[in-house]
Amino acid sequence: MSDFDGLVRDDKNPDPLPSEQTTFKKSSSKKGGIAGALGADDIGSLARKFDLDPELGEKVLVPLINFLDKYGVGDAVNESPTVSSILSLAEFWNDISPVVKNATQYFGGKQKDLSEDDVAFLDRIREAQSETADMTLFQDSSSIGEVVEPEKPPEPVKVVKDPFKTAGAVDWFEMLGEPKGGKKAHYETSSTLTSLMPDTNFGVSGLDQLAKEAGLSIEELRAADSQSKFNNANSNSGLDYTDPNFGAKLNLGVDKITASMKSEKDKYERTSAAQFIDMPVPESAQTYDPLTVTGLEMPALKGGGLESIQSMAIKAGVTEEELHNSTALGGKDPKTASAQDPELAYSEVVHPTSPGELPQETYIVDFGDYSTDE
Amino acid sequence: MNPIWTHYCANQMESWLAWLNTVHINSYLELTERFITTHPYFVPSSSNFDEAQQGLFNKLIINRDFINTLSEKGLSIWANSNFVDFIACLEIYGVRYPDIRRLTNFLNLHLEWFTRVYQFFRADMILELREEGRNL
Repeated sequence: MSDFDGLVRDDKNPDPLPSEQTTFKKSSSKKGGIAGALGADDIGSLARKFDLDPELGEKVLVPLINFLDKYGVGDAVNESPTVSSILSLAEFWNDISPVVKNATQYFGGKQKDLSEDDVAFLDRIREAQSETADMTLFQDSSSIGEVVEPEKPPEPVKVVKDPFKTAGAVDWFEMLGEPKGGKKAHYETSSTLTSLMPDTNFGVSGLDQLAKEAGLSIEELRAADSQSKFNNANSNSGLDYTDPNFGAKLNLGVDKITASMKSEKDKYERTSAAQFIDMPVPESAQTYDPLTVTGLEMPALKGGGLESIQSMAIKAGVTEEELHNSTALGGKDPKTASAQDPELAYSEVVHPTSPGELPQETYIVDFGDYSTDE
Repeated sequence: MNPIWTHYCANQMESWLAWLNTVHINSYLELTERFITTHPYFVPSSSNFDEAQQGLFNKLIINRDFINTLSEKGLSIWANSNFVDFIACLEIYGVRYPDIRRLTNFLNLHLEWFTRVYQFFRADMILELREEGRNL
């Protein structure tokens, strides 16, 4: 016996099959294992018992039962009372059958139908669309919308004669079949629109001419003219611009202001002591001297006027030289160099002896005079 | 809102919802996304626009019967619209239907891809309509 004897099968003395496989073969040959365990004769009666769809029984139940039977689950249930009581396949199947049924319906497309609410909702939208939509965008059998008619090709113009072989000027009216224009307009044109229009006079046209060109009567034009309505309602408001007194007649709308100014002037004349009528009026502003008024004498100043600086300096004992030297009077000459001022010389830096403490001379009370008990 | 797409969505929504009930939309969109990822520059041919195909794009956009109901004016509006107009009309239904919301989110996510494919379909459809004698 070698180590590889087990890998080669001896055809002459085949090994007996294991006892488990023998049992499996025997059990698989049995019919109606699971169906029998669930109290049905065959798979069809099982499907009817659990109220399953025939299609579901055919497509799902048969493969599943065969699968379970193949691996002896049904035999185990039949033979083992313990497994049968614990597993209770009937209850198990009772639980999962609705799930399988729903799953089958789901993937089989049986839930295609929408709920009534959804259908009503979509119908409302569709109806609203039909009512509000621009139906010219669609064409349907009820001929709603635009009808597209094939365009008729223009009829070819019959040429009376060949213009290239005609001697002399070509009459294009005759050539194109148009009636001849009786009167020439300002523009040489055969436009229908232009020919329908009334003759236009260049330059300033009267109202009658403008109304005629606009296709209106003069009455219609006046009725529609808001300015003429205004003028008719205020017939006296017109002014003659050729009148020499045009300026006086011009109403600027300042009557109220003028009346108010007049009343103010009258009041001032009544209450004021000054009579402006008697006051002289200067002939020219350039030669007018307000300090020289005819009939007005200015009062003479007493005391000789303001005291001069020189006299005040003499009284104060300040000489003429000191008067011009501000430093002598106690002030500082900004022109002098800062080096002469000892306070501004930073050559020596003095640090405080007791930093953080105020100097002694800043105290109002000199505590040095007080004696303390030790 | 584009009047053509608004009308189209209102009339097609019932069938779309029924279709969405029969598919697992997340798996469907995942598969479609894989296709887009593996075919980023997908150029469809005329056979791809066969209505019998059950692709997402075909299911939503390709409806020759509807386009044939359009007048000349409606065709002009349809031909000058784009995929964004269609999504804008579809998004309104997403408020009520989560599947439609997932769908519009997906279309917006791959807007460039769908826009390009739609342009191929539109060009193909315009050629077809012109051959039929429509004034477009």
